[in-house]
Amino acid sequence: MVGAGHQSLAAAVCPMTFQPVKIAPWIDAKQIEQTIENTRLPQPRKDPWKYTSVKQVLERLDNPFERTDQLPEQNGSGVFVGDFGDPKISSLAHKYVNQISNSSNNVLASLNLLRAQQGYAIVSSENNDSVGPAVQIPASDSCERILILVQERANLEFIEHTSGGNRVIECLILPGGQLVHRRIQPATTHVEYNSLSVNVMENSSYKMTQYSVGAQLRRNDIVINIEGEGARVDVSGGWKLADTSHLDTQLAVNHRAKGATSQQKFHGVVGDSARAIFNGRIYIARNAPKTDAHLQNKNIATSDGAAIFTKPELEIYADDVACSHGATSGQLDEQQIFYLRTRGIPDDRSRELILEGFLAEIVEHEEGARVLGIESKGVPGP
Amino acid sequence: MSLLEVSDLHVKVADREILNGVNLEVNPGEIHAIMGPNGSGKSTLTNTIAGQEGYIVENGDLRLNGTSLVELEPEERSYAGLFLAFQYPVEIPGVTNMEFLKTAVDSHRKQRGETALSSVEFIKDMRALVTKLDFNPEFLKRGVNESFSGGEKKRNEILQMLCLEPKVALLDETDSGLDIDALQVVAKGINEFRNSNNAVVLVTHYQRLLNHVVPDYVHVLLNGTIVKSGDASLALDLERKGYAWLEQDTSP
Repeated sequence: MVGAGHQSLAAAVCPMTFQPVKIAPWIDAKQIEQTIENTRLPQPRKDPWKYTSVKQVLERLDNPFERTDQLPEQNGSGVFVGDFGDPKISSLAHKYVNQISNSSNNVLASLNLLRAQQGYAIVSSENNDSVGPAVQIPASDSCERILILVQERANLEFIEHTSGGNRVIECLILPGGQLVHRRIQPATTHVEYNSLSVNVMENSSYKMTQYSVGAQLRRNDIVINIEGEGARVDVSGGWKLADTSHLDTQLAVNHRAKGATSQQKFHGVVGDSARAIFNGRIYIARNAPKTDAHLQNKNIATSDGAAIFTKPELEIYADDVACSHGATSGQLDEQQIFYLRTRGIPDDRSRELILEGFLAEIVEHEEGARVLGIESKGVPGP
Repeated sequence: MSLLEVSDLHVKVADREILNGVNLEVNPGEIHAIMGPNGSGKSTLTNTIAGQEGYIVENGDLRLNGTSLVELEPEERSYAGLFLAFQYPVEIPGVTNMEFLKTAVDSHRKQRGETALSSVEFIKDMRALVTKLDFNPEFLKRGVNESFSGGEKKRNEILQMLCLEPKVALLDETDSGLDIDALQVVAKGINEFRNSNNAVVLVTHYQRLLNHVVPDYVHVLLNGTIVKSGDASLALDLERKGYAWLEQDTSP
């Protein structure tokens, strides 16, 4: 039986214009299709696809992606990179792939698995005490599936470049593990879709930064599930958008265990007729008392044509929690500009300086500064 | 020629006349104090001189070293040699004090046809300056006025003044909110700055800064006009007697 909702996806799912590569023998296409049928499909022009065309993302999935065989370089000890067919990876991948993302009912993540041209896992060894060089996930406009597994008490760091592809990443951080994820999103003229799901277990930590500039359409779905007591999540980043760029970030942090902390902090500068959409959500389940969760998003529009849609959401079912959330969109502060001008700094340079400072507040490393075009400021110290 | 010349200045803010005929002449080497109660027009005078938007000069002129400021942009007034120390210095998060100072100094240099200073040279100069002023060098690494205490913000204004070496420094309520130690540091900065070629205009409520920086002239601003001028002893009279006696003197 093909459900009515499935019909609207038929163009994307059924008449494939190219033969997908089966990236691992254990992928059961029938079962995935069944899952898709049983899942509520994205509704156009309704949350969470109110401002971004889901159709364009689906159409992109139906257009042939370039196949890549390139795996991230493995230059450190304490980490293993292998594709889903690799005997060392296969059973782990079979166990976890589409499990972590499925908990958020993400149909697009299931579609990604059907269309993936490449799938691989990055796995830390157990109990590695020091972080080696960061693993680099190169930019790609392919359709990719990636599993990241941080073993108990292990450390892992990776730098991810996105560029017009369809990429689904699932991360599992086992108790005491620490994962650092730096996402860089340079300019692209493609429709780009990224889905990231992270399960954070007891006393583990996940730190992520995301810096983005223009894209024709770029959508980032991020779901972080705190499944263990005392976990720490810190997600921050920013964007600088010009021309007709469109960036949509949907970020949810779900606290499902007690005594965990989470921070979300994003700053954005939006100019010309660009659009920025940010939906930041904190969910605190009944069994998550002693949660400390904060969310902040600030935007500055530098033109009349710029559009900013930001929505902080807080849903709390537990007692004894400390939470805050706030979102602002505004223009440059005239008092700040006047202050700088009285010191002899010309009007245009004053505006630049304030915007650079605004972005510098969320930039934590050089690569981030570079993509946002504020590298001349240097990296602020901790 | 006087350094700063305010002649028959009439200023409107939001369609209301706040200043109605202010006259002031400041010569090189002089320190002037402008005193007055709240609402007398002190801040309107400083904001108008600095070029704040919304302060409309209806009549009269403002001249710095012979150049009329009225049509100039705030940055052009700065190049002409004007400096305003703000009553409420603005916070600019994410921009370090060092970066801000260097951008300001380089903008002035560019205007004079000089090349930008090397960072190394500039940092060395700034370190020397903050040490001389008894400021903590950490000050330079922090965001502009970001989470500064009231005293730190005022010290920062003095630091900027010494960096930019203006011809006329207007200090708007620089003594307000300062404890005794900070007051002395600020006074030391002003005394460090003054020489026979520049001038200082202190706008203040109280007489206490004037114990540390002795003015040559004291002017009383009331209801948008200067009603009385005198030497430093006038400030002491005001401290003792308040402003009411002048108000009665000038009421039509």
